[in-house]
Amino acid sequence: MASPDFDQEHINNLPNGIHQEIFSYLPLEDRKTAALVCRLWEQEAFSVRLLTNVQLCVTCQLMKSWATTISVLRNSTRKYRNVIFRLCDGDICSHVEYPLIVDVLNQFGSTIEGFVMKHGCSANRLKRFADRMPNLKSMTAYVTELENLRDEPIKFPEDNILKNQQFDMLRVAPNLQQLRIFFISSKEHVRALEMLKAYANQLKMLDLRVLYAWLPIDELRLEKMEILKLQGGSREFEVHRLHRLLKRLRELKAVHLGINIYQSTLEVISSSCPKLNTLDIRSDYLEVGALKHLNNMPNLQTFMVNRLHETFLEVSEPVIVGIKELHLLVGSTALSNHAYANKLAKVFPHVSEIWLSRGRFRI
Amino acid sequence: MPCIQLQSSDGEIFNVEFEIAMCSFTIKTMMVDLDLEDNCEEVVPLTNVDSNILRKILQWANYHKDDPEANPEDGKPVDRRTDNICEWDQEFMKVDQQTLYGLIKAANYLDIRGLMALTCKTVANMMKGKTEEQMRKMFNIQNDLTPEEEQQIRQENEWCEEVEIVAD
Repeated sequence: MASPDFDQEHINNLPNGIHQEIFSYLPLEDRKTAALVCRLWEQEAFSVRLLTNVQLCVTCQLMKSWATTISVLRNSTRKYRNVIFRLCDGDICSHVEYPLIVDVLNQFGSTIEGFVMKHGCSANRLKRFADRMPNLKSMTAYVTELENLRDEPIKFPEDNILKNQQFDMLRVAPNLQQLRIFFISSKEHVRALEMLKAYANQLKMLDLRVLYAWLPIDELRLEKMEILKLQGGSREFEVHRLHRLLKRLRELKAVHLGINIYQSTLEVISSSCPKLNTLDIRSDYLEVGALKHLNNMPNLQTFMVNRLHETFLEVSEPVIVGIKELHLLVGSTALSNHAYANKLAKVFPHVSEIWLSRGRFRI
Repeated sequence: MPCIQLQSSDGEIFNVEFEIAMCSFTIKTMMVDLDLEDNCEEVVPLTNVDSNILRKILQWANYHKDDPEANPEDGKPVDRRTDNICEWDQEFMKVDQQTLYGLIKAANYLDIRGLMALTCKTVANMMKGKTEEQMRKMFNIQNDLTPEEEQQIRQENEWCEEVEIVAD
């Protein structure tokens, strides 16, 4: 019975909030089934609280039958907190896409906290999307065209309080703390930087991937940054700018540098980022003996590096004491070389876990 | 050993060791608010819990009195596994649905976090891997969804997926 007598204990007579508590122990697949049991269960299994780990996934397929899709979405009572657009790249889609994405955001924007768009999009449009998501906390997007903004003046006041309406996603997304953004534009990277400036000083996590564009990253204000991930080439991130940036990151806890660095960068990190516990670097350009700087990072526990050539292990004096977890991008056979494994164990005596992975780190 | 007296809704009085009664945040707060901490004569009435349920709860609390206190503030994600129920608890949970819901309600009212987790996990385990029809049968629930609503849910379900967790 949906509403059984009260003298009998029945699952649907449990007090408010208990169903959610029960459903919180179910994997999503079982929650989907539970939603089909009765109205109450549908509401509770997909309540705002339990939608934290659920994302609405919009694909090309849905875009093609948009009339049906949008009518289902309009009837939805779920307050989605995360949305991901998995659309194909290219011009064919992009004309129809924009109004459809706006449709989705008009419907769910006020509760959306996580926004992921796995295809290229102009910065101009991205701003319009962000406009519709006042509670946005995390955004992942690829910015392809920045030139669309050419006609719109962008000015940022000196005092860093942004009043500008143009590219001011900070104002519309005051809760944004995590941003993953990939610039693949060869032009107009100055505007890209302006967008980052608008975001950056409230961010705790920035994952920045830059291809074929040069960014004066040292102009960013990233004082609150706890996790920084940079990927690109040395042309995209000049050493002296990288160092100027790192010197201001007092709160940094994890840094992932998918670019080739020299010993001097380790030196800067060790003297500027006292809270660092995770260091992820590429060793190809590192001078032999550079690892000694790791001992000057008092909170460092996790060290991730693409490879550690034996010459590093031979001269590494003194041993690296703080590190407990080591990640290497090498094949699983690397440690079957006993001489190598022994040297590794000598240099990192407190490592309790070694992770080996091929290709790239999953971070 | 200092005790307090708890009175169930049907009037039975239980002498309970202080330490065991403290597993309930509701009782704990009550004691502090009413300044009862050094007064063993006072009887605390629990109007929402009958003697059968209260007896079970005290049995559970007695077994778990030395458990470390869970600290939800320590930043770790809350444990959502349901396959980690200890043997004693599994045995303890072999009750009919009436008792199970009674325990849930009481654990909720008395704010006993460990028991709340145990009972909710137990119900979740009863749901896992079942079809919607099997779930309805298991919990004696009438389907009150219209075919249109059901279609809506199926459609939306198809578009929902777990958020990709990206670690630091």
